[in-house]
Amino acid sequence: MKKGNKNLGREFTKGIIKENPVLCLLLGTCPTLAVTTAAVNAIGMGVAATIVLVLSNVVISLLRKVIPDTVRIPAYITVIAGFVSIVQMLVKAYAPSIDESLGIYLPLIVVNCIILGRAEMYASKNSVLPSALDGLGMGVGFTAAMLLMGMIRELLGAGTLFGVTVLPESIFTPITIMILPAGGFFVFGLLVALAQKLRRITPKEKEQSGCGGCPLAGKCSAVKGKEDCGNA
Amino acid sequence: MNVKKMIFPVLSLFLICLTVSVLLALTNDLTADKIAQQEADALRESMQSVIPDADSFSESNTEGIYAAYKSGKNIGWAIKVTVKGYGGDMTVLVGIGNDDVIKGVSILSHSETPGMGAKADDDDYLSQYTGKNAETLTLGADIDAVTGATVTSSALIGAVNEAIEIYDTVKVGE
Amino acid sequence: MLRSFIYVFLAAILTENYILTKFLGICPFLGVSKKLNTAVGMSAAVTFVMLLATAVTYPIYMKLLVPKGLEYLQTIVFILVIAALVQLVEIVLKKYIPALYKALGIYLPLITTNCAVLGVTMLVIEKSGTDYGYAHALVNALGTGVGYLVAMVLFAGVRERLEDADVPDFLKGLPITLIAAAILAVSFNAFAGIVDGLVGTV
Repeated sequence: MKKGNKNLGREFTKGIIKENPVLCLLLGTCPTLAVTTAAVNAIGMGVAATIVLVLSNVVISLLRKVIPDTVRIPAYITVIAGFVSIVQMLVKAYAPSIDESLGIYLPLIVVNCIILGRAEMYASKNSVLPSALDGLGMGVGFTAAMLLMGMIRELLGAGTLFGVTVLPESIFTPITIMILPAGGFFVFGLLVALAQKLRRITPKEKEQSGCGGCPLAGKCSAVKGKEDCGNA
Repeated sequence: MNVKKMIFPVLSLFLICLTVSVLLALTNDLTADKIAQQEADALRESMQSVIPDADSFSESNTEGIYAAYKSGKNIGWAIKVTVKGYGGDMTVLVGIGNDDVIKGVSILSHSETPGMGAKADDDDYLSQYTGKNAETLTLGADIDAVTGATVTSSALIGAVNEAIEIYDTVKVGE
Repeated sequence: MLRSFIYVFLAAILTENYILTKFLGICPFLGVSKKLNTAVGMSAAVTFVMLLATAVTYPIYMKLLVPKGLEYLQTIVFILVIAALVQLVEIVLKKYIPALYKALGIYLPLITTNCAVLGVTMLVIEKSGTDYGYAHALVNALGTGVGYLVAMVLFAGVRERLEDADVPDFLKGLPITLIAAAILAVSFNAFAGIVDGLVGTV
């Protein structure tokens, strides 16, 4: 952990590229796959998750010296669930179409590993401003990754972008499977491959990250030393 | 000493839960009305689309059956039916005028395959139903199916036929 | 009545498989499914928690939250119940069946953040209605767990094969796993309509 004069800017940008939660840390995969059938859904989910992430990071950072260690996970969950519920209500009231398109994935933000993960790995050990920026960066990174997936899937699967027909059926037959679950896995796989290639990471090193970012990694004896979670 | 170690964590957790619950209750107070309003508006909008001439609606004693009025006079009914589509439940709203003519069909929710069954949720496709007499309709004869989405199209026409049956009972009771 | 149970059960495994059609429970799916026995152990634990969680949260929602107009507390109440249940299961297992606790040990706390568990508790509420009640919810939870197991086992088999395959460098690890998952998902598409055909439209 960097202490003292942190480069605050870096706290923000790391979440976008170097430590992109979805493509590098491999967290938050469930909503990424589920919601990216259309680019606009990706934005809706990304914004909602970012709001929760920033707010919960701030609160948990504020309370970090006060929350006893034994109950910290339930405490984090309570705070996060609280913010998710608030965001849910606000969305239902002021943007019901987003509520409809996200469906059950909106409340599922509460178990999004990114949020709990950052709470445990960062907000509980750092002060408020860096925590807020970390949350914001991770949230933006999350949104960006989802947006990329959403745009690819929507374009190839329906010929539209944000609902606007870009590739009319006369010149391009939509590859429907792209907006089905199989297509989601496929596009995600290719994007992760691309990210891996760009970072030139060896498979062994990378496989540690998925579990490492998990908030319960501390309890997971497999991660601590010998083997990683996935290969246990 | 041991008791203190046990009490403090539980107490702080309890306090956090309490604070969060209060915040939620507050937010609920602020938003509940708006949410109800949104839902009512959405329903009103769909009912208006299936019975365009109406200027007001009211729910009858049975859930899902709405009476449509124009200048205070009942001109028809908007009937909500849920059937099993290809990918899950499909909820359809059918508007039938008292002249035994279908005024409009709208799909409220569905889980059909995008690009295939989901094509049924299209104004042009659904307009096939508008103007048809409120008697049992047959796929192929009265209504064209969506190419490659027979199950969805059958489910839809099944829903409309079910609504027609309900209309017959409601009309008699009128 | 029995037919509707069978319908719900089979649908949960084949046409509404949480991992392959709803993308719920992906993290452990990708992380844990490498070896067959750990995949089975994890799924068994998940199924148990799903069943228990649904059994507890459904009546809480119906008998406590709805009558008092507290539906907005659903998310927070459900997740806390699940967290508490997982904790309880851990304690009970540790004390009474230590061998099982040791075998499952690491996977138990991870179940709390498994979207599939919270997902099933919320989705059965959405489905509840005139012909879908508490019993159906439990059957659904059980079916979902079994579906989870099926997907995990199938996938573990695929991954064990992938170990010996000659995979291009940039696809090694997660990417090829995801592509394999994609193919598995496509194969499950073939099940569409099968439950209607087997059981008859309920």
